[in-house]
Amino acid sequence: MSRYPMDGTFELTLRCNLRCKMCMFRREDSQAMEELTAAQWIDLADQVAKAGTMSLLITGGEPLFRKDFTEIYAGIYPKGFLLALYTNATLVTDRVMETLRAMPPHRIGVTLYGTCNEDYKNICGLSDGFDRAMEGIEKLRTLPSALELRFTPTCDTIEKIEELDKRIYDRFGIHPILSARVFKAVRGGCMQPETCRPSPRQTVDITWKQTEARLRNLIPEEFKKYVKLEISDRCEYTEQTQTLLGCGAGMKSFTVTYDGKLLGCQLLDTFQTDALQEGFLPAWERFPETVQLPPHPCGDCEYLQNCTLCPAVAMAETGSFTGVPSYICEITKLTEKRKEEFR
Amino acid sequence: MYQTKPGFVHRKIADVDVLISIGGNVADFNGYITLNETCAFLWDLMAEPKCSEQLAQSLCSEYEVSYEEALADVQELLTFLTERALVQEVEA
Repeated sequence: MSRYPMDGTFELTLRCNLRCKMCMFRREDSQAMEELTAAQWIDLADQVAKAGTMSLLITGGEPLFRKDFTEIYAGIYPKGFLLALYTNATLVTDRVMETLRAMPPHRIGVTLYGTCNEDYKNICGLSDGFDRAMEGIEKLRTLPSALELRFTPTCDTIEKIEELDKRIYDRFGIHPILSARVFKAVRGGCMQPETCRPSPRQTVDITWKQTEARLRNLIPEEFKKYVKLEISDRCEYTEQTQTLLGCGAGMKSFTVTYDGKLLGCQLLDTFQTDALQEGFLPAWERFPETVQLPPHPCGDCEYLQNCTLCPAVAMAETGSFTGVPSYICEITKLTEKRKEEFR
Repeated sequence: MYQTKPGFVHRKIADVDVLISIGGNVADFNGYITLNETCAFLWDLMAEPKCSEQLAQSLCSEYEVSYEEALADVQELLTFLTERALVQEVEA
Protein backbone atom coordinates (compact mmCIF):
# COMPACT_ATOMS: atom_id res chain seq x y z
CA MET A 1 0.00 0.00 0.00
CA SER A 2 1.46 3.32 -1.02
CA ARG A 3 1.11 6.48 1.04
CA TYR A 4 -1.03 9.24 -0.39
CA PRO A 5 -2.23 12.42 1.39
CA MET A 6 -5.88 11.95 0.47
CA ASP A 7 -7.60 13.40 3.55
CA GLY A 8 -6.35 16.53 5.24
CA THR A 9 -7.26 18.55 8.32
CA PHE A 10 -6.40 22.22 8.71
CA GLU A 11 -6.51 23.17 12.39
CA LEU A 12 -6.80 26.93 11.90
CA THR A 13 -6.53 27.70 15.59
CA LEU A 14 -6.66 26.12 19.03
CA ARG A 15 -8.46 29.17 20.36
CA CYS A 16 -12.16 28.96 21.07
CA ASN A 17 -14.92 31.19 22.41
CA LEU A 18 -16.11 28.28 24.59
CA ARG A 19 -14.39 26.81 27.67
CA CYS A 20 -15.75 23.28 27.46
CA LYS A 21 -14.84 21.10 30.42
CA MET A 22 -14.29 18.08 28.19
CA CYS A 23 -12.19 19.83 25.53
CA MET A 24 -9.09 17.80 24.68
CA PHE A 25 -7.26 20.58 22.84
CA ARG A 26 -7.65 24.06 24.35
CA ARG A 27 -4.51 25.31 26.05
CA GLU A 28 -4.16 27.88 28.80
CA ASP A 29 -1.83 29.90 26.57
CA SER A 30 -3.90 29.44 23.44
CA GLN A 31 -4.73 33.16 23.13
CA ALA A 32 -1.04 33.92 22.72
CA MET A 33 -0.05 31.09 20.41
CA GLU A 34 1.40 32.02 17.06
CA GLU A 35 -0.93 30.90 14.31
CA LEU A 36 -0.27 30.71 10.61
CA THR A 37 -1.43 33.81 8.76
CA ALA A 38 -4.22 33.73 6.21
CA ALA A 39 -1.64 33.93 3.40
CA GLN A 40 0.26 30.95 4.86
CA TRP A 41 -2.91 28.83 5.08
CA ILE A 42 -3.85 29.67 1.51
CA ASP A 43 -0.35 28.81 0.31
CA LEU A 44 -0.49 25.50 2.21
CA ALA A 45 -3.89 24.77 0.64
CA ASP A 46 -2.28 25.26 -2.74
CA GLN A 47 0.51 22.86 -1.81
CA VAL A 48 -1.81 20.13 -0.49
CA ALA A 49 -4.02 20.48 -3.57
CA LYS A 50 -0.97 19.94 -5.77
CA ALA A 51 -0.01 16.95 -3.60
CA GLY A 52 -3.42 15.42 -4.43
CA THR A 53 -5.49 15.93 -1.28
CA MET A 54 -9.15 15.39 -2.04
CA SER A 55 -10.98 15.97 1.28
CA LEU A 56 -10.09 18.85 3.53
CA LEU A 57 -11.54 19.49 6.98
CA ILE A 58 -11.39 23.04 8.35
CA THR A 59 -11.50 22.86 12.12
CA GLY A 60 -10.05 24.24 15.34
CA GLY A 61 -10.39 25.11 18.20
CA GLU A 62 -13.23 27.10 16.78
CA PRO A 63 -12.30 28.12 13.23
CA LEU A 64 -14.91 30.91 13.14
CA PHE A 65 -13.16 32.49 16.14
CA ARG A 66 -10.42 33.72 13.82
CA LYS A 67 -11.14 37.25 12.69
CA ASP A 68 -9.72 36.38 9.26
CA PHE A 69 -11.71 33.16 8.89
CA THR A 70 -13.59 34.34 5.80
CA GLU A 71 -10.35 35.44 4.14
CA ILE A 72 -8.72 32.06 4.79
CA TYR A 73 -11.81 30.11 3.75
CA ALA A 74 -12.34 32.11 0.56
CA GLY A 75 -8.69 31.58 -0.35
CA ILE A 76 -8.81 27.83 0.20
CA TYR A 77 -12.19 27.09 -1.38
CA PRO A 78 -11.50 27.67 -5.11
CA LYS A 79 -8.68 25.11 -5.06
CA GLY A 80 -11.38 22.44 -5.21
CA PHE A 81 -11.47 20.14 -2.20
CA LEU A 82 -14.35 18.14 -0.82
CA LEU A 83 -14.55 20.62 2.00
CA ALA A 84 -15.88 20.06 5.52
CA LEU A 85 -16.22 22.68 8.24
CA TYR A 86 -16.47 21.83 11.94
CA THR A 87 -17.85 24.52 14.23
CA ASN A 88 -19.81 25.02 17.45
CA ALA A 89 -22.21 27.27 15.45
CA THR A 90 -22.23 30.05 18.06
CA LEU A 91 -20.28 32.51 15.88
CA VAL A 92 -22.19 32.35 12.59
CA THR A 93 -22.21 36.02 11.66
CA ASP A 94 -23.76 37.61 8.55
CA ARG A 95 -20.27 37.96 7.11
CA VAL A 96 -19.58 34.24 7.62
CA MET A 97 -22.91 33.36 6.02
CA GLU A 98 -22.24 35.61 3.05
CA THR A 99 -18.98 33.73 2.42
CA LEU A 100 -20.46 30.27 2.99
CA ARG A 101 -23.44 31.05 0.76
CA ALA A 102 -21.14 31.91 -2.14
CA MET A 103 -18.85 28.97 -1.35
CA PRO A 104 -20.80 26.29 0.48
CA PRO A 105 -18.73 23.51 2.05
CA HIS A 106 -19.76 19.99 1.12
CA ARG A 107 -20.29 19.10 4.75
CA ILE A 108 -20.75 21.04 7.99
CA GLY A 109 -20.39 19.38 11.38
CA VAL A 110 -21.76 21.10 14.48
CA THR A 111 -21.15 19.76 17.98
CA LEU A 112 -23.77 20.44 20.64
CA TYR A 113 -23.10 20.39 24.37
CA GLY A 114 -26.51 20.48 26.03
CA THR A 115 -30.22 21.10 25.73
CA CYS A 116 -30.43 24.59 27.23
CA ASN A 117 -28.47 27.74 28.05
CA GLU A 118 -27.90 26.44 31.58
CA ASP A 119 -25.99 23.44 30.17
CA TYR A 120 -23.85 25.69 27.97
CA LYS A 121 -23.17 27.97 30.94
CA ASN A 122 -22.11 25.06 33.16
CA ILE A 123 -20.17 23.09 30.57
CA CYS A 124 -18.88 25.69 28.11
CA GLY A 125 -18.93 28.91 30.13
CA LEU A 126 -21.26 30.68 27.67
CA SER A 127 -24.57 31.65 29.25
CA ASP A 128 -26.51 32.07 25.98
CA GLY A 129 -24.59 29.34 24.14
CA PHE A 130 -27.56 27.10 23.40
CA ASP A 131 -29.62 29.92 21.87
CA ARG A 132 -26.66 31.03 19.80
CA ALA A 133 -25.96 27.50 18.60
CA MET A 134 -29.60 27.02 17.60
CA GLU A 135 -29.58 30.35 15.77
CA GLY A 136 -26.32 29.37 14.04
CA ILE A 137 -27.71 26.02 12.94
CA GLU A 138 -30.84 27.74 11.60
CA LYS A 139 -28.58 29.82 9.36
CA LEU A 140 -26.27 26.97 8.36
CA ARG A 141 -29.15 24.70 7.38
CA THR A 142 -30.12 27.18 4.64
CA LEU A 143 -26.92 26.18 2.83
CA PRO A 144 -26.86 23.23 0.43
CA SER A 145 -24.13 21.59 2.53
CA ALA A 146 -24.75 18.25 4.22
CA LEU A 147 -25.30 19.12 7.88
CA GLU A 148 -24.21 16.78 10.67
CA LEU A 149 -25.06 17.49 14.28
CA ARG A 150 -23.12 15.81 17.06
CA PHE A 151 -23.56 15.67 20.79
CA THR A 152 -20.72 15.21 23.25
CA PRO A 153 -22.26 14.37 26.63
CA THR A 154 -20.67 14.83 30.04
CA CYS A 155 -21.71 13.03 33.20
CA ASP A 156 -23.98 16.06 33.81
CA THR A 157 -25.81 15.89 30.47
CA ILE A 158 -25.80 12.18 29.75
CA GLU A 159 -29.33 11.78 31.05
CA LYS A 160 -30.53 14.37 28.54
CA ILE A 161 -29.61 12.47 25.40
CA GLU A 162 -33.14 11.45 24.53
CA GLU A 163 -34.45 14.94 25.28
CA LEU A 164 -31.79 16.48 23.06
CA ASP A 165 -32.40 13.98 20.28
CA LYS A 166 -36.11 14.76 20.28
CA ARG A 167 -35.66 18.54 20.47
CA ILE A 168 -33.12 18.60 17.68
CA TYR A 169 -35.00 16.18 15.48
CA ASP A 170 -38.25 18.11 15.94
CA ARG A 171 -36.54 21.38 15.07
CA PHE A 172 -34.09 20.39 12.35
CA GLY A 173 -35.14 16.91 11.23
CA ILE A 174 -31.70 15.56 12.10
CA HIS A 175 -30.79 12.99 14.76
CA PRO A 176 -27.57 14.15 16.44
CA ILE A 177 -24.68 11.70 16.30
CA LEU A 178 -23.42 10.75 19.73
CA SER A 179 -19.70 11.28 20.40
CA ALA A 180 -19.58 9.53 23.74
CA ARG A 181 -15.93 8.59 24.02
CA VAL A 182 -13.92 11.44 25.49
CA PHE A 183 -10.19 11.15 26.05
CA LYS A 184 -7.87 12.97 28.37
CA ALA A 185 -6.38 16.25 27.12
CA VAL A 186 -3.79 15.99 24.35
CA ARG A 187 -0.95 18.22 23.09
CA GLY A 188 -0.79 20.27 26.27
CA GLY A 189 -4.55 20.81 26.59
CA CYS A 190 -5.41 22.48 29.91
CA MET A 191 -8.81 20.94 30.67
CA GLN A 192 -9.41 17.65 32.46
CA PRO A 193 -12.02 15.85 30.38
CA GLU A 194 -11.63 12.68 32.44
CA THR A 195 -13.21 14.42 35.43
CA CYS A 196 -16.50 15.04 33.64
CA ARG A 197 -16.77 12.33 30.99
CA PRO A 198 -19.40 9.60 31.27
CA SER A 199 -18.18 6.39 32.89
CA PRO A 200 -17.29 3.44 30.63
CA ARG A 201 -20.58 1.76 31.57
CA GLN A 202 -22.59 4.90 30.75
CA THR A 203 -20.63 5.28 27.51
CA VAL A 204 -21.36 1.72 26.41
CA ASP A 205 -25.03 1.93 27.47
CA ILE A 206 -25.75 5.11 25.57
CA THR A 207 -23.67 4.17 22.54
CA TRP A 208 -25.43 0.82 22.31
CA LYS A 209 -28.86 2.37 22.69
CA GLN A 210 -28.19 5.11 20.14
CA THR A 211 -26.63 2.75 17.61
CA GLU A 212 -29.53 0.34 17.83
CA ALA A 213 -32.05 3.19 17.51
CA ARG A 214 -30.13 4.61 14.56
CA LEU A 215 -30.07 1.27 12.75
CA ARG A 216 -33.77 0.74 13.38
CA ASN A 217 -34.50 4.26 12.07
CA LEU A 218 -32.92 3.22 8.78
CA ILE A 219 -35.48 0.47 8.27
CA PRO A 220 -38.73 1.58 6.61
CA GLU A 221 -41.72 1.08 8.93
CA GLU A 222 -43.38 -1.53 6.72
CA PHE A 223 -40.26 -3.73 6.75
CA LYS A 224 -39.50 -3.51 10.48
CA LYS A 225 -41.30 -6.73 11.36
CA TYR A 226 -39.19 -8.66 8.82
CA VAL A 227 -35.80 -7.33 9.90
CA LYS A 228 -33.67 -8.79 12.64
CA LEU A 229 -30.52 -6.99 13.72
CA GLU A 230 -27.46 -9.18 14.07
CA ILE A 231 -23.94 -8.51 15.26
CA SER A 232 -20.74 -9.46 13.58
CA ASP A 233 -17.20 -8.88 14.72
CA ARG A 234 -14.95 -6.48 12.89
CA CYS A 235 -14.00 -7.67 9.42
CA GLU A 236 -10.62 -9.33 9.36
CA TYR A 237 -8.32 -7.91 6.77
CA THR A 238 -7.72 -10.33 3.97
CA GLU A 239 -4.44 -8.73 3.09
CA GLN A 240 -1.74 -7.13 5.16
CA THR A 241 -2.47 -3.42 5.55
CA GLN A 242 0.53 -1.21 6.03
CA THR A 243 0.06 1.45 8.71
CA LEU A 244 2.18 3.81 10.76
CA LEU A 245 -0.12 4.30 13.73
CA GLY A 246 -2.62 1.46 13.32
CA CYS A 247 -4.98 3.43 11.06
CA GLY A 248 -4.81 5.71 8.04
CA ALA A 249 -3.01 8.47 9.97
CA GLY A 250 0.18 9.45 8.18
CA MET A 251 -0.63 6.98 5.40
CA LYS A 252 -3.62 8.63 3.76
CA SER A 253 -4.57 11.33 6.24
CA PHE A 254 -2.79 14.20 7.94
CA THR A 255 -3.32 17.27 10.09
CA VAL A 256 -1.63 20.63 9.73
CA THR A 257 -1.65 22.31 13.14
CA TYR A 258 -2.34 25.97 13.92
CA ASP A 259 1.41 26.67 13.69
CA GLY A 260 2.16 24.67 10.55
CA LYS A 261 3.33 21.34 11.94
CA LEU A 262 2.37 18.20 10.06
CA LEU A 263 0.90 15.42 12.23
CA GLY A 264 -0.55 12.04 11.30
CA CYS A 265 -3.51 12.69 13.58
CA GLN A 266 -4.75 15.74 15.46
CA LEU A 267 -4.58 13.81 18.74
CA LEU A 268 -0.87 13.03 18.62
CA ASP A 269 2.07 15.40 18.21
CA THR A 270 4.90 13.11 19.35
CA PHE A 271 5.71 12.47 15.70
CA GLN A 272 5.76 15.55 13.50
CA THR A 273 7.42 17.32 10.63
CA ASP A 274 7.19 20.97 9.68
CA ALA A 275 4.86 21.69 6.76
CA LEU A 276 5.48 25.43 7.03
CA GLN A 277 9.28 25.34 7.01
CA GLU A 278 9.89 22.27 4.84
CA GLY A 279 6.93 22.66 2.51
CA PHE A 280 3.98 20.28 2.60
CA LEU A 281 5.20 17.55 0.27
CA PRO A 282 8.72 17.18 1.75
CA ALA A 283 7.17 17.20 5.25
CA TRP A 284 4.66 14.54 4.20
CA GLU A 285 7.36 12.40 2.62
CA ARG A 286 9.63 12.65 5.66
CA PHE A 287 6.85 11.96 8.21
CA PRO A 288 7.25 8.15 8.42
CA GLU A 289 10.89 8.55 9.48
CA THR A 290 9.72 10.26 12.66
CA VAL A 291 7.42 7.44 13.79
CA GLN A 292 9.07 5.15 16.34
CA LEU A 293 6.63 2.98 18.26
CA PRO A 294 7.55 0.38 20.87
CA PRO A 295 5.68 -2.97 20.80
CA HIS A 296 2.39 -2.70 22.64
CA PRO A 297 1.68 -5.02 25.58
CA CYS A 298 -1.90 -5.68 24.45
CA GLY A 299 -0.68 -8.03 21.69
CA ASP A 300 -2.01 -11.16 23.42
CA CYS A 301 -5.28 -9.68 24.68
CA GLU A 302 -8.34 -11.74 23.77
CA TYR A 303 -10.27 -8.53 23.03
CA LEU A 304 -7.64 -7.06 20.72
CA GLN A 305 -9.60 -7.57 17.51
CA ASN A 306 -12.51 -5.49 18.78
CA CYS A 307 -10.54 -2.95 20.80
CA THR A 308 -10.29 0.67 19.64
CA LEU A 309 -7.03 1.43 21.42
CA CYS A 310 -4.49 3.23 19.24
CA PRO A 311 -1.12 4.86 20.01
CA ALA A 312 -2.70 8.33 20.21
CA VAL A 313 -5.26 7.20 22.78
CA ALA A 314 -2.67 5.22 24.75
CA MET A 315 -0.51 8.35 24.92
CA ALA A 316 -3.47 10.61 25.84
CA GLU A 317 -4.76 8.29 28.54
CA THR A 318 -1.53 6.99 30.07
CA GLY A 319 1.24 9.30 28.89
CA SER A 320 2.99 6.35 27.25
CA PHE A 321 2.67 4.34 24.05
CA THR A 322 2.96 1.14 26.11
CA GLY A 323 0.35 2.18 28.67
CA VAL A 324 -2.88 0.20 28.97
CA PRO A 325 -5.74 2.63 29.59
CA SER A 326 -8.38 1.21 31.92
CA TYR A 327 -10.99 3.53 30.33
CA ILE A 328 -10.60 1.81 26.95
CA CYS A 329 -10.25 -1.69 28.45
CA GLU A 330 -13.49 -1.30 30.34
CA ILE A 331 -15.36 0.07 27.32
CA THR A 332 -14.13 -2.81 25.16
CA LYS A 333 -15.00 -5.51 27.71
CA LEU A 334 -18.43 -4.05 28.44
CA THR A 335 -19.14 -3.77 24.71
CA GLU A 336 -18.18 -7.41 24.17
CA LYS A 337 -20.42 -8.42 27.06
CA ARG A 338 -23.28 -6.45 25.53
CA LYS A 339 -22.74 -8.21 22.21
CA GLU A 340 -22.92 -11.61 23.87
CA GLU A 341 -26.14 -10.66 25.66
CA PHE A 342 -27.62 -9.40 22.40
CA ARG A 343 -26.73 -12.60 20.59
CA MET B 1 -20.09 25.38 -29.65
CA TYR B 2 -19.75 23.69 -26.30
CA GLN B 3 -18.23 24.96 -23.07
CA THR B 4 -17.89 23.45 -19.62
CA LYS B 5 -20.24 24.93 -17.03
CA PRO B 6 -18.70 26.74 -14.09
CA GLY B 7 -18.96 25.04 -10.71
CA PHE B 8 -16.46 22.23 -11.15
CA VAL B 9 -12.74 22.17 -10.42
CA HIS B 10 -10.72 19.62 -12.42
CA ARG B 11 -8.22 17.96 -10.07
CA LYS B 12 -5.77 15.09 -10.34
CA ILE B 13 -6.12 12.80 -7.31
CA ALA B 14 -3.86 9.75 -7.13
CA ASP B 15 -3.51 9.78 -10.94
CA VAL B 16 -7.28 9.90 -11.37
CA ASP B 17 -8.97 12.90 -12.99
CA VAL B 18 -11.87 14.15 -10.89
CA LEU B 19 -14.28 17.05 -11.07
CA ILE B 20 -15.10 18.50 -7.67
CA SER B 21 -18.38 20.36 -7.44
CA ILE B 22 -18.03 23.83 -5.88
CA GLY B 23 -19.93 27.05 -5.32
CA GLY B 24 -23.62 27.25 -6.21
CA ASN B 25 -23.22 23.91 -7.96
CA VAL B 26 -23.08 22.15 -4.56
CA ALA B 27 -26.84 22.71 -4.29
CA ASP B 28 -27.38 20.51 -7.35
CA PHE B 29 -24.52 18.09 -6.91
CA ASN B 30 -22.67 17.64 -3.62
CA GLY B 31 -19.72 15.47 -4.55
CA TYR B 32 -17.29 14.59 -7.30
CA ILE B 33 -17.15 12.86 -10.68
CA THR B 34 -14.27 10.78 -12.02
CA LEU B 35 -13.23 11.24 -15.65
CA ASN B 36 -11.39 8.87 -17.93
CA GLU B 37 -8.28 10.18 -19.65
CA THR B 38 -9.90 11.29 -22.91
CA CYS B 39 -12.84 12.93 -21.19
CA ALA B 40 -10.42 14.83 -18.95
CA PHE B 41 -8.51 15.93 -22.07
CA LEU B 42 -11.70 17.17 -23.75
CA TRP B 43 -12.98 18.76 -20.54
CA ASP B 44 -9.92 20.99 -20.32
CA LEU B 45 -10.27 21.99 -23.98
CA MET B 46 -13.85 23.08 -23.35
CA ALA B 47 -12.76 25.71 -20.84
CA GLU B 48 -13.10 27.85 -23.98
CA PRO B 49 -15.99 27.27 -26.41
CA LYS B 50 -15.25 24.50 -28.93
CA CYS B 51 -17.27 22.82 -31.65
CA SER B 52 -17.41 19.03 -31.93
CA GLU B 53 -15.19 19.11 -35.04
CA GLN B 54 -12.47 21.00 -33.19
CA LEU B 55 -12.63 18.57 -30.30
CA ALA B 56 -12.45 15.59 -32.65
CA GLN B 57 -9.46 17.13 -34.41
CA SER B 58 -7.68 17.60 -31.06
CA LEU B 59 -8.39 13.99 -30.15
CA CYS B 60 -6.82 12.86 -33.44
CA SER B 61 -3.72 14.94 -32.70
CA GLU B 62 -3.33 13.43 -29.23
CA TYR B 63 -4.43 9.84 -29.78
CA GLU B 64 -4.18 7.33 -32.60
CA VAL B 65 -7.76 7.41 -33.76
CA SER B 66 -9.49 8.14 -37.05
CA TYR B 67 -11.32 11.45 -37.42
CA GLU B 68 -14.66 9.69 -38.02
CA GLU B 69 -14.32 7.57 -34.90
CA ALA B 70 -13.17 10.57 -32.82
CA LEU B 71 -16.10 12.69 -34.00
CA ALA B 72 -18.61 9.96 -33.17
CA ASP B 73 -17.09 9.59 -29.68
CA VAL B 74 -17.05 13.36 -29.12
CA GLN B 75 -20.69 13.70 -30.13
CA GLU B 76 -21.70 10.86 -27.85
CA LEU B 77 -19.77 12.44 -24.97
CA LEU B 78 -21.23 15.91 -25.63
CA THR B 79 -24.76 14.50 -25.57
CA PHE B 80 -24.00 12.74 -22.27
CA LEU B 81 -22.46 15.85 -20.68
CA THR B 82 -25.11 18.24 -21.98
CA GLU B 83 -27.97 16.07 -20.73
CA ARG B 84 -26.37 16.12 -17.28
CA ALA B 85 -25.83 19.89 -17.39
CA LEU B 86 -22.06 19.59 -17.13
CA VAL B 87 -21.50 21.25 -20.49
CA GLN B 88 -23.55 23.98 -22.13
CA GLU B 89 -24.08 25.02 -25.72
CA VAL B 90 -22.91 28.58 -26.35
CA GLU B 91 -22.97 31.00 -29.27
CA ALA B 92 -19.89 31.02 -31.48
